[in-house]
Amino acid sequence: MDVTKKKILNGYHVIFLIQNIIVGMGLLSMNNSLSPLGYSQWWIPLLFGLVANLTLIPMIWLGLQFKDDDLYTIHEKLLGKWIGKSLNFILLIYAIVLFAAVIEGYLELIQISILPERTITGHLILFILITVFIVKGGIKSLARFCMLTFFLTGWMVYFLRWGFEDGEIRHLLPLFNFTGKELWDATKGGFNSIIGYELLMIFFPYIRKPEKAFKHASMGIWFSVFFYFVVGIVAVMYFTEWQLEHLQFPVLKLFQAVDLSFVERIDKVGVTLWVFLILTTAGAYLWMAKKGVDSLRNKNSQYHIYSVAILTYIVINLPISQTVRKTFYEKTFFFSYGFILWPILLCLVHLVRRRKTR
Amino acid sequence: MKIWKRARQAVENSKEKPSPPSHQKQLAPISLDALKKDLTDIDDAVFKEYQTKDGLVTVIYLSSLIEPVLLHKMIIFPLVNDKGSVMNTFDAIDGSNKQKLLMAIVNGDTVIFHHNKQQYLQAHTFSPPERAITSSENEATVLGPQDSFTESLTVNLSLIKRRIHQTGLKSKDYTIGQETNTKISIMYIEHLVNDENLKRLQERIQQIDFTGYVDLVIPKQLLEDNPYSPFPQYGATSRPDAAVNSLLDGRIIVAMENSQTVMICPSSFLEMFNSPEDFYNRWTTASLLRILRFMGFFITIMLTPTYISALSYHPGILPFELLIMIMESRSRVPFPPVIEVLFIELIIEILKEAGSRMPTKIGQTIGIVGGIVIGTASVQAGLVSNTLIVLVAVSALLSFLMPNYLMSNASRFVRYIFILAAGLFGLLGQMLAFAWLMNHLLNLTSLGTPYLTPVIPRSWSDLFDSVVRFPLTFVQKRTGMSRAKREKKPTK
Amino acid sequence: MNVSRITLLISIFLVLSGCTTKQGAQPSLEKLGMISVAGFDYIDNDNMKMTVIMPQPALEAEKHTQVISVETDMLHKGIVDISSRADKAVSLKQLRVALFSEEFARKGQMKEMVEYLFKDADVRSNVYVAIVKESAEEMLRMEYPDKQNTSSYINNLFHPRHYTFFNPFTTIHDFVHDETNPLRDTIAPYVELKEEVIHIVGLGMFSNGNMETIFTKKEGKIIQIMRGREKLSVFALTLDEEGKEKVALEFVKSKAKVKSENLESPKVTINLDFEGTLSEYEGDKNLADKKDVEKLEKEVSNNIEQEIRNLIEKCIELEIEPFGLFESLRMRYKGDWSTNLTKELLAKAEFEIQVETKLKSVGALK
Repeated sequence: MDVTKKKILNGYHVIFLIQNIIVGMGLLSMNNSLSPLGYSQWWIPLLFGLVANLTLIPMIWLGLQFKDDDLYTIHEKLLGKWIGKSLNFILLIYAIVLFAAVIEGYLELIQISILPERTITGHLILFILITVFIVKGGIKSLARFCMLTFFLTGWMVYFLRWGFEDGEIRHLLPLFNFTGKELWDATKGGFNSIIGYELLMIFFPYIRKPEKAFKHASMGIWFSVFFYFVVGIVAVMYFTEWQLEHLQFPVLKLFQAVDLSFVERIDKVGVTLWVFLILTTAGAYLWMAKKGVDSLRNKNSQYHIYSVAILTYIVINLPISQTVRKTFYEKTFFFSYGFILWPILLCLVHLVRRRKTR
Repeated sequence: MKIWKRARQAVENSKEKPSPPSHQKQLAPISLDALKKDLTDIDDAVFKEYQTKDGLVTVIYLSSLIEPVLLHKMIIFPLVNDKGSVMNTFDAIDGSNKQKLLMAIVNGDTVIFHHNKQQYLQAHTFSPPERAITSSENEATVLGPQDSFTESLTVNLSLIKRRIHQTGLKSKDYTIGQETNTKISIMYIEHLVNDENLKRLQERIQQIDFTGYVDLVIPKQLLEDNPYSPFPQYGATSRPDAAVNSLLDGRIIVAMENSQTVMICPSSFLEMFNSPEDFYNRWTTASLLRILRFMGFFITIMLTPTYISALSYHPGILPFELLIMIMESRSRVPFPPVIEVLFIELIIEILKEAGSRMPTKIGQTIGIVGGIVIGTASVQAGLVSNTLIVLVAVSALLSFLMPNYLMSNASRFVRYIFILAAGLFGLLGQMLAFAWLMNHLLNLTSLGTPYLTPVIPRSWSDLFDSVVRFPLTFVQKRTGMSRAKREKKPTK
Repeated sequence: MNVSRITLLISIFLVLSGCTTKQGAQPSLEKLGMISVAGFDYIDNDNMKMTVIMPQPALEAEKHTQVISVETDMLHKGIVDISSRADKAVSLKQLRVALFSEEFARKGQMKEMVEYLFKDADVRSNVYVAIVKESAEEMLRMEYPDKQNTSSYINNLFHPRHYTFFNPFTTIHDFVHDETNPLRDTIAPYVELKEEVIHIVGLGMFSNGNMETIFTKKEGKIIQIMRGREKLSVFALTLDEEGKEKVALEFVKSKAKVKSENLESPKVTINLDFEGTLSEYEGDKNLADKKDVEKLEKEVSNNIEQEIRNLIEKCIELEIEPFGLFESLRMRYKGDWSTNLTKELLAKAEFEIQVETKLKSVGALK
């Protein structure tokens, strides 16, 4: 295996990378975020998947124009050096904030349900350490870890069987029982469970066959949408609207309905196994931040990973109040919606420039 | 890769290489006195003179490396009763090259100096007492051939070459080791092996520099990609049929003089769970046994840590009757679960180590005493709980399921890490340790190929011989692991 | 390399500290008192009496269960009080059954208490809920000398078993689900302590968070059938007025289809299909004769139909809807369904009930 080759990700890697980056914290609280829609929320993930697929198209097109450059270099090429670098800096901040948000969200869940008597410092350090180890091997190590995670955690879908049996299938039916405003509220909160595929723009130069990247990335998106869809159906069947609105993590209660003879409280096992999914998502954002620092300093170095990790640790432990932190994270998610639409703008700029040079 | 390079360099810098033999012009042959001087204090070196038809002949050899009857029959008798030109049956050797002469003597050959012609001749008489070919102790099977490798390189080569009869089976020799000058031999099938792997291995062998090699495991550790990992990256076997299987798969075998095992490279994680009997059993039994071994590895690293985390952090996991039972058995134990588990694990390790050092006569008694008496007495004294002893004993047994001894040692090491992680963070610690383990395994490479290759297959046919073994018609022998060439050999 | 060596060292130290147990760190299993059953009694509007039992695992203890009662107004405050009376840290992690006294259910804050248990992350959501006739504390303090220990006894009592499939066993999840479901009202089993043994005597019906009435066990069975429970067991019927003809059927399969239509003048169609074997028959009919068996089937179906009709009328009177009759109407309804709507529809609805019974075999003897 030649370590100097740049194109190291084949199609399977792309599929599972995209799928695992998307599935992170979002799945656990998705039903809660979509609860303004009541019982009709089970097909909304399909809608989100469609939107995601459509916004994927400008990303792929942009990537195919600049086959060997990731988004940072594209910014510099299209918009000039200074604007490009400042945009890259904003992207770097975005990556760090999302990295911190994902970790903090998960560790909060751990503190609620698994290790209630501790502060999060110990597991925070351990978690960041393991993420650093994963990212040190580069994007290929991350991709392989994603493939493994898919098989290690995918079978938990079987646990939904008990919820399915106990639930009432007629909950599914009034399909469009919501107003426009409710849909807007739900999308605002719920769409952030499906972002994550914009990282495709950053690892695009590593894909071996970029022409097929669209097919593979779409498959990744639809795998995640399948999981969301199944969980959505079972949650709607099992809970009432009030429960969906008030339960912070409906998936945990679904796991608690599981009745096995030799072990109880499967939700604890489920939540701890979830750490793999969070590791992949967090690892991807850390890698994106590393690439950002690389492009800002025009130098590739492993020390960038360590510095970003230490910076994140400091950010998480800053004495900012909880509410300020939560609003900050929500605002960042809005930024990510904008980030998804951003390639369209870049494509237009690219077309205009091309026409100019002709 | 980097780590290996640095290790190699460190060893190299600390040693000075002996100067290569200087090229002399065709000078006079070395005198016998000079040879004698180098062989002083080697009291089993023999210098004997015989009168033959052609004149005086001196025979030099090391008596410990040569069987006396063979010496007499091959050399002394023909020399003394020379009817024809016995001298022509011996090979010529460059008489002016003292290094070569000395190497020949210490290698067990007999050097013959013909005084009249001032010529040195050499006869290959290396025949020390050797162990007979017995059945393998560590890898015994019920079915299949029962022979195993011995310490002699020629015997090992013969065991392999009698199974593959073709000229495509190459065996290249190298001499390594500064002080020991051991011979190793690389074997491969030319039209199946991957050239890049072969070149890499050969380069590495020529570049390693170490004082001496006592067993194959030492060059194995020096030739590895990641010497810091607890997992062995090359396979090892002491059975010729397993070695031949891997040759047919396009892999490279390294055999060393004085070593009972041969090294197989490249190798993968799942192959550490293969026993040679898998191909002799029918596919259903073989698949079940493989699944058992594979599950055994994961259960042995997860079982006791789960006990610790269930008791210390998540009592809600246990069903009600089990909870009452465990509470009863733990009610007299004064230690927290982590200490209890470490205590018993350490006792089992001590029993194992002590049992393997003791002479056989005492060893069995002490083993029984240690196992039964200490175990029962400590439960009754309330030092440990009896459910825990069952769990620890089961997981210790499971760790020995693996055919590769180095792998079962690695799994024990990994289990300690899991125990500490579970003691610190409960189930979360276990899962994080598991994530670390998976990440480590994913990044290991064995001669360049990823260590977890059948799990993340290079080609779909790999899966037919991984955890489940499919019937032989499905198993393609040219797996993606070795990146073997896929052209078929032209049939006769 | 240097930095990764440092990180390796740090992680080793971190992991090694797992061997130490600090003061106040998570106690291990035997130092925890696991509450298995909790009982709530009514004192007044704010206060309640909480009784908990914990199994005593030490082999030398005389009693195998420890019972503690406190008076408190909040659940967790009660737990703290209990911990100060027990020698172990008390935890709700293995709570199995929650008992509420009848008074508490009728007048007190049962709904809030159950909701609170639902939201607590420590408590499993399949903890069983039951109403006790007089006092929960008495039931927990009573000694059951022939049972293994009280916790296992009560836990196994509420776990659905073969002959008790007809009784509804409500878990916390079911309770909260039905409370917050505008189409259906909550039910919970009603138990009574009689002659030192706990009997399940009926079904408590809730409306607006408080218990209104009690239904009998037979009515409970019918409610279960209509709710769609498929696993059933023995059903005993008296077919005629004098009590001369009695039938006991063992149901193998049951299917209930409840359909409702037309929002303005709602019409509810109930179709029930039963398949069963006849386990006991007392009467005049000749079971070997096919015609007689058919007549028996018809009579059984009519009987069940009459029971259902009676029950529905009783429910309309009491304004309680435990079945979930209007689910199919909700499927086509635009907007948010409210509880008042359910009550309105219940009062107006017309019912058409059709029961079909198939007797697969009439027993081993002819």
